[in-house]
Amino acid sequence: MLAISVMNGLVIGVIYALAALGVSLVVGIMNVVNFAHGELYILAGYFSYLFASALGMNFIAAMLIALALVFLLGIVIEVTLIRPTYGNDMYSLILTFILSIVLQNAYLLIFGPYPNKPPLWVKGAADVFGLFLYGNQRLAALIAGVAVIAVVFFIIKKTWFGRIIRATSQDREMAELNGVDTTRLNMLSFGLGCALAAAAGVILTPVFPVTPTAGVPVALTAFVVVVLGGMGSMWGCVVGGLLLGLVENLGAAFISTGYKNVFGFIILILVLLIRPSGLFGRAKV
Amino acid sequence: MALLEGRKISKSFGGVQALSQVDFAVDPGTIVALIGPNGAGKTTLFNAVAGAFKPSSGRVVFDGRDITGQPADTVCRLGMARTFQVTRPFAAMTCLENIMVAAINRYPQKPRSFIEGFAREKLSLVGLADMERLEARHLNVVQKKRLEMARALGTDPKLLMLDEVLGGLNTQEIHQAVEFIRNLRDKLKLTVLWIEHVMGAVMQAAERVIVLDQGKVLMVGTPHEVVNDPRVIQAYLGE
Repeated sequence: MLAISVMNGLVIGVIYALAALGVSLVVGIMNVVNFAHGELYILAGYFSYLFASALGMNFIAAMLIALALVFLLGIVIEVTLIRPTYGNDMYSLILTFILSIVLQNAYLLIFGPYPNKPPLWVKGAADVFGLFLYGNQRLAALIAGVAVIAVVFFIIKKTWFGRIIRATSQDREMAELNGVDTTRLNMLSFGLGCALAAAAGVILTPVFPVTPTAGVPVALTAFVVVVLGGMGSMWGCVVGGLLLGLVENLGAAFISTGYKNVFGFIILILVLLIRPSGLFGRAKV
Repeated sequence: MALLEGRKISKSFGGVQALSQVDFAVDPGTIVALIGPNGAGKTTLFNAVAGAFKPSSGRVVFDGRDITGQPADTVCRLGMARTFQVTRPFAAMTCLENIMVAAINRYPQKPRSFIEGFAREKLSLVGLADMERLEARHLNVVQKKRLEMARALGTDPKLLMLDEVLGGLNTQEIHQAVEFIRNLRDKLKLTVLWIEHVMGAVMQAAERVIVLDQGKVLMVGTPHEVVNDPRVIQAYLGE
């Protein structure tokens, strides 16, 4: 019971971390909270369902196309909805909130209220350290999630794009004075943030099927993770995501499943009481 | 032809006329000091020139192009770099990365090895070569100033705009800094526009001096002419 709850917590925790990294990136660069984050997560799930199950494509190709499409959609959203609101964070908040409702209803209209599920990548179950049998698909999701997070860390820490992102999130004006075209950077990082939601979506939907509103709790959790981990901290997203995944699953296993979502908020309140800037957040000078 | 030219630049904030009809020119290869009492509009002029905000009226011509009201990043990529009175490094990045950010934007097509080498060269130019892996927040004030200078050089500028780089330095450090900036100008064939309060340093370093007072150009001349001009003495000391 304990071991399998920890395992479940890790799988979902990695997905939380991925979704939170996307939110954190966009908040850090643009100071925009994308309320449609969860709907883009779901959209990627629908895309991979559509391409793999309905059109019969290879599941990896389906996932990559889903990622690319959501990335492009993110760029379109940035250019059409977010860019005209630069300088007023409230407008972008409201616009993305409206977008999330529009998308939910569009999904309902197009795909119906039933759960849809892309095909499993792998079948069967594996024996984990002789402790319990665990679904191969969940293990694959865990590995894929860790791999994507590793790629994101590499991009942010080591590439030119990552250096520009870090510089801009630390001091936007100074970055501009050093030649950073922040309008273009906004567009790319918003697209990347959406692509991270999509990555979480394509990885998790074979396990947890998509419904039109299934993105809402994921986005909410991602916001909680970002605050829990500390605004703008990548490690905060990872540690916060894992912590939340573990606490939810252990709490559900040993206390009550009915309170599954409460545990996360209890942790959040406790952390904020002790460290108002989050686990890895730096206090504002 | 002048590298940088301001034509009748005016800027008002609400009812306050911060700059009115400022004409000036900076010839290539020279060190030009911009002086004036507090509130004369020196930093405002920098901001209007470097794209922090658009002047209310007037034109800014840089390297033969009209850059009036162009955003800061465009102006930077055209070859204008700037430092601030209070240094603002990217605190959570290493010294080398700080400069790489500047260099990447100036040379987006160049390979990583070039960018790194270029950044390293600028870092050793200011004497921070052995700190390249250190995060910028660990530097002391003088080192941060050097880093800021190196980062400005990392954009490979034609024009370097310095805003009170000598503030907080002691006499010996000031002397070194002046030497350093003169050498830099010769070595990199820079043009320097320099706001400075430390008069001794200005007199040593600059070839031309522009004096601003109450948002207007009071006079332009050699350092010797400027310090002996009664209008300048009056602007600084009063009647």
